Amino acid sequence: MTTRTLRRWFLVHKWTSLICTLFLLIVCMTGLPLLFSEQIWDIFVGDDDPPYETLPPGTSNASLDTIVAKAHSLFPGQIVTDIAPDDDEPAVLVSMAPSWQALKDDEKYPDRNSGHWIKFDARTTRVLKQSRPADAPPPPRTWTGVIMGTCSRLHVSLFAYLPGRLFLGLMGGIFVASLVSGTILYGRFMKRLPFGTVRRDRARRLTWLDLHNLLGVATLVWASVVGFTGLINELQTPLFGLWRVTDVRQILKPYANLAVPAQNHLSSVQAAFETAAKAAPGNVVTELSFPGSSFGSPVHYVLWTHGATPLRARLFTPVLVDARTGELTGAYPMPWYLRFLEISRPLHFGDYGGMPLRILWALLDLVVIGVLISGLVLWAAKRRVSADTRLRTLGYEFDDRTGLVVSHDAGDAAR
Amino acid sequence: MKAKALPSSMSSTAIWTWPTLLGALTLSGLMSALLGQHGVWLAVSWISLSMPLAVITVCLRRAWSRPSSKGGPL
Repeated sequence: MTTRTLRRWFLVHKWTSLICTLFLLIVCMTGLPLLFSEQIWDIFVGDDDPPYETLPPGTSNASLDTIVAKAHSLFPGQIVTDIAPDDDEPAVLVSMAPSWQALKDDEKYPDRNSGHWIKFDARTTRVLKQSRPADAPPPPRTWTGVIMGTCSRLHVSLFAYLPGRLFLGLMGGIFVASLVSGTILYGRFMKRLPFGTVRRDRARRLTWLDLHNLLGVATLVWASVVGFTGLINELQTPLFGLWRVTDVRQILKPYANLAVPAQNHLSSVQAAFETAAKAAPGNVVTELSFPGSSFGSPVHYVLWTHGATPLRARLFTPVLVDARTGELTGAYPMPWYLRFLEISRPLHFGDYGGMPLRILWALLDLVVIGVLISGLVLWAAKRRVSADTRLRTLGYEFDDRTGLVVSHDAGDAAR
Repeated sequence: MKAKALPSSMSSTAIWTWPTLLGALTLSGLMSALLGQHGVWLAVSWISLSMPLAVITVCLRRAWSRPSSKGGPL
């Protein structure tokens, strides 16, 4: 590698790092509490749900049709929008609204939400809990809620919604560029240093440089994976949007202009779950959206299914069941880019290997913070010197060890 | 891993042995929990992902356990 190429890579590393460091520090620090959010909520807020009734073992679940009918009788004249049996508790969550139009109108008013939900015991159909009524005073804010909410919004979008997400996605891309250029520089700087050397007997700057190199290279692959999957996650809104305007629109086209049938004329919800399970073998059916929702068809139940194995657990396959006849219309595996998005989620969150994995994630995150800070120190200490001089200075400093020397005479003179 | 001056520059293989090893361990750790999800695979994942942290700890302890005769500024 010529000095010229090296200098270019150095500039690439310097500028890409400078641009993204502040934002990376933010996401690295806010990511830490998010890793343990479940535990934090449990410890500081707790769960005020009433305990489940103890029923004789083997008690079967009630038909989902009974639960839908019960929801209708609790709120006559309203519509059911969605029904979702809980993954690991014997509960069924039913979402309702005055009408589809009311939900659509909500979008114009940020603090209006006419939708509400009811949680039923899946076995006895007893009402376990309901959402707070819209006119009730808001619940007191807890410190945990404020802190976790702030961390989450900073981490995902810097409080700037979609533009914030896309901006952080861009920063993720720049971070990956900084990792690539950093790796190339590492190879050059380590020419005469054994792996893992941290020189403490020479200039303090060299200690920081060695630390930066050691911490950086040891966590390189982890940082690349988490950075890249973070970038993919930030693209979820446009990626889902792309799917909606292409495949989904194509599938729903023949039905787009049909009227939404009245809910008392719809086919069995329980049977739709069974039809969907058969249409997507090996998948678990988790949720059913009623005809008329903004993303679905006016005449179909949309059933959300996902794979049963850990790798496939985040790969969703929607199934359409005609709500007028109960007939299967089809199962529609997601396009490759959404499958890629779903697989990249666990690799970003670190939530797929129990508590030890979360702790390792946190420790690796702390090391990356160390890389960012040592990088900042290296930059701040020498920022008045041009990149060129700096490289040459490094060359002198390295000359007996690393061979990174521009001119031997100049090196000796500078000493 | 001693920081004595080496007579000649190292080959690319020597420079990249450790980084490649740590990278491979990281990748296998990330994937084994994702693909396996069972006891053994989880343990493999935890051990592999601990390796970069262990190596960092060993290197730092070595550097800081040696007496430092810090030189002057650059």
